[in-house]
Amino acid sequence: MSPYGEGLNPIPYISAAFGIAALMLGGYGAWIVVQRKRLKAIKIASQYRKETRR
Amino acid sequence: MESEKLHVGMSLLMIGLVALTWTWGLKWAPTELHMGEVYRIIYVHVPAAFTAFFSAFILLIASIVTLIKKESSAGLWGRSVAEVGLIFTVLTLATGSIWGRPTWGVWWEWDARLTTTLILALLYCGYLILYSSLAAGPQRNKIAATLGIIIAADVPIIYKSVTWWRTLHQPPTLIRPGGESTIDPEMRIALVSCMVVMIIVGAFLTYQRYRNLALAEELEKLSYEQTP
Repeated sequence: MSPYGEGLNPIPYISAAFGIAALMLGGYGAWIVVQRKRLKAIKIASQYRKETRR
Repeated sequence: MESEKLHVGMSLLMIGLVALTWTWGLKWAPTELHMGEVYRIIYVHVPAAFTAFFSAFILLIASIVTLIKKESSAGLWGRSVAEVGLIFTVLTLATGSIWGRPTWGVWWEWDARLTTTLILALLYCGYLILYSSLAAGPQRNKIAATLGIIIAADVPIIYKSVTWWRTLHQPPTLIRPGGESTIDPEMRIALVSCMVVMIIVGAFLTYQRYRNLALAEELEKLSYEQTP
């Protein structure tokens, strides 16, 4: 193997790097969306509870 | 509802910008003379590193504001940006390791740049563990802000590590102190675009995470009010 990666198939390395980036950023973004939906549902439930107690 | 539509639109815009700049880096940017196609990993590795550093800078500002004004919202900003900073630091280490295998012949080397970046990831982890383990209040904000300043102090060390010590990692090519950039202009414009977009994505994720944390805090207060 040459010191600069000549003669190597670069596709697995490039795919792995960009794939990990897409998974990490996409996964974190999706987790934030799911968490937001849960928190909003809890907020609606809490407000409803507060109103019905009065 | 309008605000939700705006956030969905912003998210789609972020995805579109990332897709565009990655396509630029992968397809339209020229091939590197020595490394060939594998060099294209820099279009994700370098922007991730700069976003991790930028996150540390925002964490520094949030920490200083927390210490001066003792505001809880600055603490929440610190917590959100530390999470995003950790993600981008781990991404930097992962993509750097993938780049290192074909170019250096090793996945990992205890070289100054790599080790100081690993320390940054560990510091971000420490910050998040500390923040989660302490009870909410000014004491937690103060301790976390102090650690936030220490995290930011690691960034100049990472940046200068390639000039202070003899390392396997290449010296700065994009921003050279007192010198011209050694990168091809066509590659530079693609790389700078990827960096700008990644920083915008990092800022967007930080803001979205901050909104969740603020909502969680609001719910906590609401539950205290409802406790008989």
